[in-house]
Amino acid sequence: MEILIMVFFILSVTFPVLHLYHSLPWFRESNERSNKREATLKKWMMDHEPEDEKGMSILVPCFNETGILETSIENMKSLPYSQLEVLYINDGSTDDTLIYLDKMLQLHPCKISTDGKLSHEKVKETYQSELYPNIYVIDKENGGKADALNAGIEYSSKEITITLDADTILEDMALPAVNDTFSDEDVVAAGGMVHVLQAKSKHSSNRLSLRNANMLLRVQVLDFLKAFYISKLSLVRFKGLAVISGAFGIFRKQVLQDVGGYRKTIGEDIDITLRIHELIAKHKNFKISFISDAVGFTELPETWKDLTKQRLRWQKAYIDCIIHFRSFFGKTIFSKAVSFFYVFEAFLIGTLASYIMTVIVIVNMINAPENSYLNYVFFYMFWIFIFGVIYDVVAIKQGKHYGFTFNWKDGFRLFSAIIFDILVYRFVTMYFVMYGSISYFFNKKWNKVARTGRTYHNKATKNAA
Amino acid sequence: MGKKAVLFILTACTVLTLGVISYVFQFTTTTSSNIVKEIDRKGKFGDRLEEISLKDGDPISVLVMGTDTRAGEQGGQTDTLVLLTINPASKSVKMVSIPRDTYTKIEGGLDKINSAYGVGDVEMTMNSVENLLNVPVDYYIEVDMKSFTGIVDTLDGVEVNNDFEFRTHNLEFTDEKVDFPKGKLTLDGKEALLYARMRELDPRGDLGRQKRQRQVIESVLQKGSNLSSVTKIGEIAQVVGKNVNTNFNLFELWRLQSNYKEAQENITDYEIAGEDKTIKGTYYYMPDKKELNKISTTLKNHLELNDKNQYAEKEQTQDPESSDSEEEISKESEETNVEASRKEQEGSNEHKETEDTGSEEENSKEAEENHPEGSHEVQEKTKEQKEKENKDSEEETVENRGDSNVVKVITEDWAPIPTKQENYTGVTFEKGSQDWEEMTAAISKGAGLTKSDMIVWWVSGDGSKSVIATVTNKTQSNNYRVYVSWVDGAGYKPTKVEVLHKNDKKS
Repeated sequence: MEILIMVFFILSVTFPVLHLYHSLPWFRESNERSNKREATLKKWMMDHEPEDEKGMSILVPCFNETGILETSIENMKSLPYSQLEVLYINDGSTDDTLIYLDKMLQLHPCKISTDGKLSHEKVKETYQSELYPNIYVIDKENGGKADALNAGIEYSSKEITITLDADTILEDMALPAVNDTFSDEDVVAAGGMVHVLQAKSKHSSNRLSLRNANMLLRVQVLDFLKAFYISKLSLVRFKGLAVISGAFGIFRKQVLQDVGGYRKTIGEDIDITLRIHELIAKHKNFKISFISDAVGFTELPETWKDLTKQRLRWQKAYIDCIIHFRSFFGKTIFSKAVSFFYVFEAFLIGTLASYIMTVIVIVNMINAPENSYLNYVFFYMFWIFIFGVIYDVVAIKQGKHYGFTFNWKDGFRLFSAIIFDILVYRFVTMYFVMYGSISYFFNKKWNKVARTGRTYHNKATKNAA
Repeated sequence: MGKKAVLFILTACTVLTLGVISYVFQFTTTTSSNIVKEIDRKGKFGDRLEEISLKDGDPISVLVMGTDTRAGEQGGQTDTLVLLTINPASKSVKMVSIPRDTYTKIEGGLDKINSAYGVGDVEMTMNSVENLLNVPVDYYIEVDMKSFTGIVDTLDGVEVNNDFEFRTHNLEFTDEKVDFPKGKLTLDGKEALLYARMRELDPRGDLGRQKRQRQVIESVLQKGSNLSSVTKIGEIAQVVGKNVNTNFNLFELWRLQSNYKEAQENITDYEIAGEDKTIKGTYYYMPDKKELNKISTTLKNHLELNDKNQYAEKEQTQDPESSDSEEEISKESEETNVEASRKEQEGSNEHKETEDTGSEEENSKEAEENHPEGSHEVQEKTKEQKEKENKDSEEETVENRGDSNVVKVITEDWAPIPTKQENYTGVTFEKGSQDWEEMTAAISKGAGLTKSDMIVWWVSGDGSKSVIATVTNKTQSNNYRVYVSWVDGAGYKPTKVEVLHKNDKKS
């Protein structure tokens, strides 16, 4: 029993430690761009060599998104990038999404050519904006997010496809940074840095603010800092990134078509990333990148109920993909980083270990309630606390390194968020992992999270411009 | 590639460090919750334990208790009792075996010392040893047979020097068949247990067994003090599990290992001389007073407790009532001893030769000094007593057939002793308390003795509101067993008195 606990302890601590070190700037890959790149240089590139800008299509699938569309459109129209088209795909919304789009964009029907490579639900009509000629709307029958994205790929015309959620907005420098990364012909896909929209500062583009965020959002800010600046950064360096976030993903259109587009599933973003990994297995020079200075902000759930829905969906997506890609994982578990980390870190450690540790603790509580229970509490406190604090602090430092600082007034909020993270949040997420894994087999619904209905664009874009 | 190697090495080192830290943490918490059992005792040496600094290498005493049950469980007996005093300054250890059948005072009564464990667990055993030897017992280590075997095995056996050859083929307490030839032997756990338990074949009997036990402890100490490997210590902690208890905490054990281990280079062992005695069919070991005194002085010197009064005073201030009455009783019995032997010469009364327990011994000098006055008083009272005795014989008596020790049974309608207690809940047995005073008054009334002429030898409960007491007059010429009961709203009253041939609570 004690040996088992020890083994699980070592396993569960190994991956975080590994990522913690590996994410540090010292381990940067030679082809990774430094965040230190002068902003003026990009500005110069943007202003003087528009012919070097690769064409980009931003796809925004919309299903009942009236609340957030204004924010999204305000952001899209202000993006300083010439070779850009934006496609809003109305996936058979049952609310006023299309009317709303028309009001904002002054739509008129237009004919758009398709490649005819990917299948999708029937498109009812395609529109172009009169106000912003590079913004299009595709109105189609409902088919789910993957189907909407496939339609978007079909109707897009540019070399690079960027997929965003309707509630994701981009920073001005995001697209030039993507452009720069994709100038390397071997980069076939990349993930952008995603921050919490609710923590976006109204005053400064390189600051996060916790002032208007509740505790749940604050821990998610930390969560995202950890996930992107430590875990994803490290995994990309291992060539093992299994999830390009659906909130902000960048792909070569050709590659998306080569892998057969998106699969209709609960976790289409994991699915597409793994398909690209399968492709990379045949084309060794291809690679997936993480663009730390391509920054987007996405809205996150503000209530426990919404958070539960979202996290359960993520967990179901994880389970779905381990089942769907089982033969790929089986063949490459020790030869490919992506399979190794997906199976060992995410599944064995992240999922199964949650169950086993819980069982061990419960069995011990029953067997020897007086001492072992206390033991475990102290044991947990001892290392989880220390390690949790270190992990959070490193994530914050990493954020600073990549240009995001917190106001000193947020110090206490940050501190309380760290405590809340260690004492409450991680238990709750562990519960999500356990519950989601089981409920996957009984209930595969999408569980779309309701948007908050807040407006972010006014002040935000004004300040950013 | 170089950076990847650095990464993996760094990660491995960190994980290893975290693993070791948490293992040590886990180990210490588990081990201490398993073996460390602090006890809260108010022994006759007060809070001496708090004043001891293991860091400074103060001399300490440790009681090693071998039990026949699992430590922590209720009941059972201590098969082995060895008191060690350790003085790191003089690099020496003194080891005294306390025979398990030693007749001594246990919390108001008199019994074998090994029964203290069954009555009051570790605490009472420690108190009883303190009373017997009149030295403070600071720490205890309680080991059961299973963990003893495990400890010896983990230490790769113990080395002993066997005095005589014996084989355990036909012994009652074990089915194991092991030969123990004469000379130097290395014993594994199971053999060491047999070696330490065997008594029947030893020509010296229990004393021989005690010696063998000390040999084993000595070897365990020697091997244990040279333990340096962490894995061995972990192994022992694993083996002992919950079967060893001690009031050393882990830091103190660590200090013990570092500051006290050199002391084991020079071990002297002692045994308590005495004689066997069977009282009412029960075997007892009667320790020799002079021997006890000598050992007590040796141990006190070894513990650097040269100022004897230091602790006597402390005792006084801490619990004046109980210690007063204790001393009184011992003083009285000492006086009577002297008086009794004088009477024996005169041939006026039957008298059995007596042995005194250790705690009484401490006051013997004092008692002798008081002798002239004391004996005078006693003689006077004896006359009164004789008169009363004559009265007693006139009273209604019943022949007692059940108990051969009972001369006659007296039943009379005694009046209850008027009580001052408002909320009576039962017999308290607290010396000096109102309840005790009233109860003893009823006893003396029943026995027909004045309170000052009465020695209470034994009081035991007979239900919650009745007691049976064994008392004598000061000269111990008359022995009584008095039955006293509480009458609600009135007080204690004697219900029955048995006149005894001899005092069966004394030896």
